Amino acid sequence: MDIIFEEAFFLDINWYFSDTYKRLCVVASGGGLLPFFLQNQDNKNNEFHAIVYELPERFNSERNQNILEAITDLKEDNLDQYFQDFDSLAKKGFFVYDKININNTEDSKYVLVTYPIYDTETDSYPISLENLNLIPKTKGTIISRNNDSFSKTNFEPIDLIDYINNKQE
Amino acid sequence: MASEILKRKLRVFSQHLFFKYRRTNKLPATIIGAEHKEIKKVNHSGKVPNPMCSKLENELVKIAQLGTKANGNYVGCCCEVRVSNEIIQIRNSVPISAIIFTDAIRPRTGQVIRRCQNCRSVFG
Repeated sequence: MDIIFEEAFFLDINWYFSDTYKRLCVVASGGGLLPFFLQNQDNKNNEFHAIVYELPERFNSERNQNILEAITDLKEDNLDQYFQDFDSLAKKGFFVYDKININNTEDSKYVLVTYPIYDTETDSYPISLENLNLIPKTKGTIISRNNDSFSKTNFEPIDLIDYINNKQE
Repeated sequence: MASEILKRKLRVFSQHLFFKYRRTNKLPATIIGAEHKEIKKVNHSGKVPNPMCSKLENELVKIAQLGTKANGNYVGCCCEVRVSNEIIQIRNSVPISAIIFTDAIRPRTGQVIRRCQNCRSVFG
């Protein structure tokens, strides 16, 4: 990563990981705390980000329907602007998490804000498996879905910094 | 209350940052506008500004040493500090209390961000 870790405290960066089922997740840091793997100067997060930037938006996406309750201080008249970047990431195939309280730099709770709709039997994987090796992989999964249903538990707040620090393979 | 001209300037700044840094993953987390009479500036959170005007530095070091963490934030790194420093660098006679700010904004989403404890103690 070509930015100093302390500098990243002031940035709203995307950091990426995949779960044990190769589901792609992106976290919008919102400023503040970051997971340990980003302290490693050899991490490939920004290299992966550059690949994501070039991906086509080829999936449908769904939004968290309770977003106004989920995100601190979010206003209803600001929703389209709020979702603009997150929708784009979901349409590229990512489960998108945002920081719940951007007023607190020390808070590490996140919530799923948008996600892609795809069928694993007919839709191809968004990226090459070689590129998947650029990001951390977790032992378990935080997404409960199949081709027919998407569990409400996916929208529960989660400490993603702690999760990635402790569940990384 | 901040002028419409300054608010417009901040919106343009926000869009500029978003398109400039989205590709490189270096989008600033927070931006703000500030003005004193005809001087209007916009800035983002980042490193402690250098040079830092003594007027601001004197207030900030009452909280903690510049660049160190206090109350969850790095002292001197907030967008409020960086933008007001720009104004005072131009006109040293401007009292800190006379600087008018816009809301602080998250460029990615347009969310309004509350002023942190450190900045409340300096700017009110």
